[in-house]
Amino acid sequence: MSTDILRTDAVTKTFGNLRALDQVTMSVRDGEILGLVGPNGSGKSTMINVLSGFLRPSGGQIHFGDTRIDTLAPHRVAELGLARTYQIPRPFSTLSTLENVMVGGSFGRARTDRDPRTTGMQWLEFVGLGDQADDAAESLTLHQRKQLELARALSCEPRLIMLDEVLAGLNPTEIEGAIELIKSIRDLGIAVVFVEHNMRAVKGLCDRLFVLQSGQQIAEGDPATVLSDQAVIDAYLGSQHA
Amino acid sequence: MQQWIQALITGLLLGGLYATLSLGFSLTWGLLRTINFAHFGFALLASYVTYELSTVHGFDPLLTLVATVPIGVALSLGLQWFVSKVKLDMFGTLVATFGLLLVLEAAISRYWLQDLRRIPTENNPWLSNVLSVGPYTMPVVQILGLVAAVALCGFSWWLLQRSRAGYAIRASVENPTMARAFGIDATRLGYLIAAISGVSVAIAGSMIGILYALSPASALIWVPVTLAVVLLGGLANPVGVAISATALALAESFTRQFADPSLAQLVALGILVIVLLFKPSGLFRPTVEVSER
Repeated sequence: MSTDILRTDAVTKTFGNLRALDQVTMSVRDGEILGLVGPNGSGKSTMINVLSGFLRPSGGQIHFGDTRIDTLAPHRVAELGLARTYQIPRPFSTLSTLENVMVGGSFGRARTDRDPRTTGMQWLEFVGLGDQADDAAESLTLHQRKQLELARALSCEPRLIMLDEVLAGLNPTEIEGAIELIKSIRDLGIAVVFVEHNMRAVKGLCDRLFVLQSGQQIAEGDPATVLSDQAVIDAYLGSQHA
Repeated sequence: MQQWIQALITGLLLGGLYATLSLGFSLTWGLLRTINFAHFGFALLASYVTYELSTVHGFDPLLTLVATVPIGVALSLGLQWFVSKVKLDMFGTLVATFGLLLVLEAAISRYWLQDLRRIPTENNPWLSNVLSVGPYTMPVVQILGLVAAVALCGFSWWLLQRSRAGYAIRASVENPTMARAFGIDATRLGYLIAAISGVSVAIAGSMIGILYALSPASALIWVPVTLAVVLLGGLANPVGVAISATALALAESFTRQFADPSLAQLVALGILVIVLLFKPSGLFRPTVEVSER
């Protein structure tokens, strides 16, 4: 019933002798939240960078909808409707909060006749930053910067958004808010790839999980099944629990 | 009192020329990361073209803008193309454009020789065309120059701070990779900035040709005051350029009027040194703060 919006076929990325990604075949379905999980260094961030066009895969293919994207530059990928956030938020510090969001809404696929100021404001209110619109982006707290990252990515009007550790560094209350926010992103019909270490959030949010270890896929499926998989438990908990 | 007001007027009008000359230098430094010493060569070339067209071919000196503006724009665009093609870093641009300045100077002195050139008064109605208000006089061409300066600085401010291209430019100067990911085409925006710089340098150059005597070496007299305006005004900050150009020109004008005229040339640098001692970042914030790469 639901079709794949993003598909990788045997994607490999090597850095010298290191195989950061090894023949990874992953798909994201329309409108789902896919949790991309794995221990540190398992290749999650490399995967995001490869998918968004920042790194060129050493082998394999990536399709976004019907378009092959592994040969495209990042801004072309963004124009097709694949947005991302960064682990460490890096707003344009010389722009105001609203202007940061307007950057996303002005140039890519979302470029329309609508006033970017109006749509930018809508996205800021969506993530809860409406009151900070005219503040300098550099004056925002970490939590607010992460919200800004989301608003900026959303303003490109993506069909798929990849969230790279958006919860890291947030306190429990902020995490609750962020989880609700991610749910409401899915409710807009936007597929989400959710890279996260916080397992409670992963369990609570994700429709499916995809587990990487040392660049290889070791499990895929619904969260309950995947998290009780012995290979996954070993990968995560290692010798302490062996 | 009358002397004070006349010095004030003279300073304001001179500020217009300083701002026009400095704007392009400031924009290319702050936004394109090119410290363009050839800027002074472009201005000098514009001055000589104005001289040539009005003296030899009898055109109205102000009309020569029709020729100098396209030349200024073409040179600026060409330089921007070269810099982005060769991928020069900021220090590299300084060395390369200084070389280009020397080449331009040499070419000019080959064609127009080393002699001091001045547009003859009979071909240059603007030199003597003066608007008198009571006891005060204002050269008409300098009033036009002031208008051009206000227009150029105002337009640049609007472009950078209020237009869609503006936040794209600021974003791509601060973080080019990220800006590209949002679909911003930094190359085209770079040419836009270069073009504005070309327009302003040509207008400044033609005004210099109308107002002053020219020699190939005269390009360098404009360097200190331009550097002072640009450093005090905050890189690529058009409002900062306008205000510091006016302030320095006023200081120079009052020095010329009430102290030793020969000191006037040193005033800009003196103020720059004093300000930088107390406020090393200059008086105004740059349009984009870039952590030096």
